[in-house]
Amino acid sequence: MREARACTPQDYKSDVKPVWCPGCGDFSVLAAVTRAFASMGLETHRTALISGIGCSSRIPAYTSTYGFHGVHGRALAAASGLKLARPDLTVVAFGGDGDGFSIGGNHFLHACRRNVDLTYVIMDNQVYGMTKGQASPTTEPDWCESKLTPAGPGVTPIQPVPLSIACGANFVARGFSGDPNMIARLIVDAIRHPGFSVVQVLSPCVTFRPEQKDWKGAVHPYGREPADNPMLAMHAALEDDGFGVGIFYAGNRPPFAPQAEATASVEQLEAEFAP
Amino acid sequence: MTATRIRRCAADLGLFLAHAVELEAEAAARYDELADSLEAHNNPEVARLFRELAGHGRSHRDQVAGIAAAHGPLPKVAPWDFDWGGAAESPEAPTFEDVHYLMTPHHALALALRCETRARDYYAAVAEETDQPGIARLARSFAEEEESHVALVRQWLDRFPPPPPGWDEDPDPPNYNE
Amino acid sequence: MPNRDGQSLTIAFVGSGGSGVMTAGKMLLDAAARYGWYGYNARSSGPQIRGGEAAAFVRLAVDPVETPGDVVDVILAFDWQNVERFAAELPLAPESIIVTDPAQGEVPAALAASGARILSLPIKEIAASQPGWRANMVGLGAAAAAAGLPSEALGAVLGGVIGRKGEAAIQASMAAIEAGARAAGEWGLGLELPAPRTSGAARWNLSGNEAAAFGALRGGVRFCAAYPITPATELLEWLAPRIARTGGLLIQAEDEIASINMCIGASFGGVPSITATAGPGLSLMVETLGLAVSSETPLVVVDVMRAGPSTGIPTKSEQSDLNIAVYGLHGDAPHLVVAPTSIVDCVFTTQWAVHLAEAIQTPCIVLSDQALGQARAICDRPDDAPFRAERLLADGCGDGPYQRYADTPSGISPAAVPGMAGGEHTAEGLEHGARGLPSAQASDHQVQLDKRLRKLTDYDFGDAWAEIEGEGDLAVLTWGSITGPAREAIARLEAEGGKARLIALRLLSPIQPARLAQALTGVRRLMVLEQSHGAQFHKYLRAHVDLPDEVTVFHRPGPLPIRTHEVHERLRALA
Repeated sequence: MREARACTPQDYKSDVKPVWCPGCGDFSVLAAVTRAFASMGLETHRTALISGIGCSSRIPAYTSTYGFHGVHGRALAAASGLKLARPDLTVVAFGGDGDGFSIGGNHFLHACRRNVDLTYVIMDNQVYGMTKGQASPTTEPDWCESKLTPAGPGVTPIQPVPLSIACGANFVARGFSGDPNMIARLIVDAIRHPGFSVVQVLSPCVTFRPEQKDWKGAVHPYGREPADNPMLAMHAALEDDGFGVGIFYAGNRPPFAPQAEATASVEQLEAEFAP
Repeated sequence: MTATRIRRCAADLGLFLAHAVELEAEAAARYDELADSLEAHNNPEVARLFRELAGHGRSHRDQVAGIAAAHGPLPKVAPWDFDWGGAAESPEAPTFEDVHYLMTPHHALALALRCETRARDYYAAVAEETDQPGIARLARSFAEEEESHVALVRQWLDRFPPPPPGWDEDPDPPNYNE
Repeated sequence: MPNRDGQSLTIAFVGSGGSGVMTAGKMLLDAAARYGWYGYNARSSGPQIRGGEAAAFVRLAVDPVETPGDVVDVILAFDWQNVERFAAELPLAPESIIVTDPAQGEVPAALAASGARILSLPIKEIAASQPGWRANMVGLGAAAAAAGLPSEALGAVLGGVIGRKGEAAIQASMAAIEAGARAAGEWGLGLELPAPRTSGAARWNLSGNEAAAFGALRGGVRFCAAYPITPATELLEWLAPRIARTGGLLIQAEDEIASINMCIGASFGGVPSITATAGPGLSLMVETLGLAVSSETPLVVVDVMRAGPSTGIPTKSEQSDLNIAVYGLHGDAPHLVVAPTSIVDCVFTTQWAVHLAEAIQTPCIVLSDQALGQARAICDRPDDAPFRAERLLADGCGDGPYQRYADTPSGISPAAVPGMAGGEHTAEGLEHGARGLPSAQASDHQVQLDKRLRKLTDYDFGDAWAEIEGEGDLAVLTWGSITGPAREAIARLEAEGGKARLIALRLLSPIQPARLAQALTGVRRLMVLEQSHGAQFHKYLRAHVDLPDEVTVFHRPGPLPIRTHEVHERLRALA
């Protein structure tokens, strides 16, 4: 992507006022995204934000770039298609933990594996906000506040960081909405790093999980240099308590970017039909 | 804030001014965002307050920017390279976790008081730590400006005592179906 | 022209951010239910999850009502924030009343323009005058008094709403209610409804989503796998603890495709299964519904329709999923589609759907909608109906290898369920022969297609296929939630000396041309009534049945409800 003119974060905001609840962690992600884009001087018309369904997926409308607000769970598929067809664009996918790991789980697995050069920012609040408070795949098994699973989900939650490494993502990082500048930096690094980059942002839901206010005290620096060996990265990620922020893995797999050069015209292909 | 920590901006005037501009700009922008958010959630009284605070923040930012312009071009600092003395963002910027859609003017002003106090303390610390008289002079004057804001907010706060318990109770839960 | 007959009253609470509009609306309905009235309660809100602008519509009546009413008789406003969002849902007449708090500013021009009478009620001031008094209780008391509902009735439901806060809170709220009632008492509006009719019938207070979930349990469902989606989520949340109490299981799946596949698995195991979703989810499920058709596995899917297409308007109602419900499966895949005609009918229709799906061994889509699903009504307790899940099970399996898909006269072949010795077979999505072995033979395909169609077309659905009322050469043909305004419009026509028939289809697929022709005998003028932009129902009818010469189609998409007077005016013009 081209890093052209200097601009301010304000230039990357649209005039649409977010409807997120006051106090929502997603405001920080929006701030981080606009700061990241400003710092890179990205051109708004060459940048596309792709999202699914949920509170977090509302973010494209709040920025001044191109955006695609798709169906639930399929942001990565749409983002992959866009980047493969238009490698000249900067493509960033957004979504929540429900959108990404529940219905989107299959696409997540394959996006990591496929390693197209794009970035995926997951706003993880361990709940389904938009449909009003059900457990998500990252919710702890004994969370009993949802009417749909009153005895708690009873199922082991997904851990996005080790999962990303295991599935083959090329860059994996975690941030926290309490530090939007750090998230901004992670997003810049993620976009710059070739291949599929995952940034999990712990982003509290003030309405359905008010106890997540305590995350502020639990978050700590990951404390290691980014590993370039997936085995080591995986080990360290599994040892982490889920609140370590930083870059866990920065790998060297070449991104999937098939290029085709035209070597024949359509008319020339007719020759095949001649007897 | 540890008094012994030497802030990088205490060593260079350009860097200090860059910090001061960012400190004010971020605070003003954040107040505006909060005003928008509370407007969208039908809390016009607090939205108006935040809008006013944003206005004050903007004029202070312009003031600082004017001083900075007289100085000449400022160094370019990436958002994550600003040194806020251990804080994640501008000391004057309110954080989103301090807000609630039902917050009252008292809460908004208490929040503003915390922000202005932090800003004052930041500038005062720079003035302490620097060994450059020019920076010290500027930092002190900024600290004094912030102190005047602190006093002003305290006055406003007198008009808005804390609300009784139950201010954050909403009879309609988000998942309303019984 | 809207109708004021003194037998019903529609009140709308509007307000935002903590004013408690929804709670007030629900309490008013619940209190009316205790008192002996009937009623209907619907809600609208902004996109915010908390603090948004909200409107609660409560229609109170002496007889059962199924619609929000033609106009809002009384608006009781806690504040006017962003009320423009609801302006189109707050139709006012000059006889309407707007109760406003002077502290909240002017009544918005869009509402004042109606010429409605404006009354002041300093709700905020009254609420602030005593500790523990909330604005919504004051407003509720005023609204109840205007309707003629005694405060004691509100007191009876107060415990359920704030009981956990203790006796002092209850007393304070009661005092606030009475303060509101006193203020309203001075208005002398004369809107009080007649006293309730005492009838022996027990009454229920429930939403369409709850009713559908209950109907499923009555029908014998004991497994549900589901994924939350607006406006179906409440059905699942009501079902979750209650299916467990009846010994069943509800699993939150990772998405709709997983949900429907889990259900087909459970059903293959012999357990009657259900899921609930909305349009986007149904779109994801259609492949597996086709599998249910081919493998002849019973399934029930409740589609609580929202305005479409795609993500559409999740919180608003429409009847535009008819096409996908009827035609959405690839191949020739006949199956069942039914639709409840009212909130209370969600109980019967879902129960019937379970029975039909199990009896015919095929999927059944229940087309509910947001207007039924998320609204509440007070209705007479619906009698239990003799419809249960009763799958024709293979018994002794006959000579030779068991034939799961035997070509029987009815088309329904006895099913073996894992656990039954001798019934081992592989259920198939591939076309198959009688034993279920995959087959590409023309004869097998013909036989199985005929079988799967015959079991539907030859089935005796009994009288529940439609609700047919009235007489005359003018008729209204409709389905689903639009039955409500249709029925009320015809009643109004009859009160004026006119006549019209109502034909509300409950069984949409397989369509019943012969029975419909009989119901339409003597009808010269027909109104087809539906809530879709593309007139899906009309086109569906034209494809399969002969309609009278004079047909008027009144169709409109969501999000606004089709109101009784709109239907009535058009009927009068046709009559």
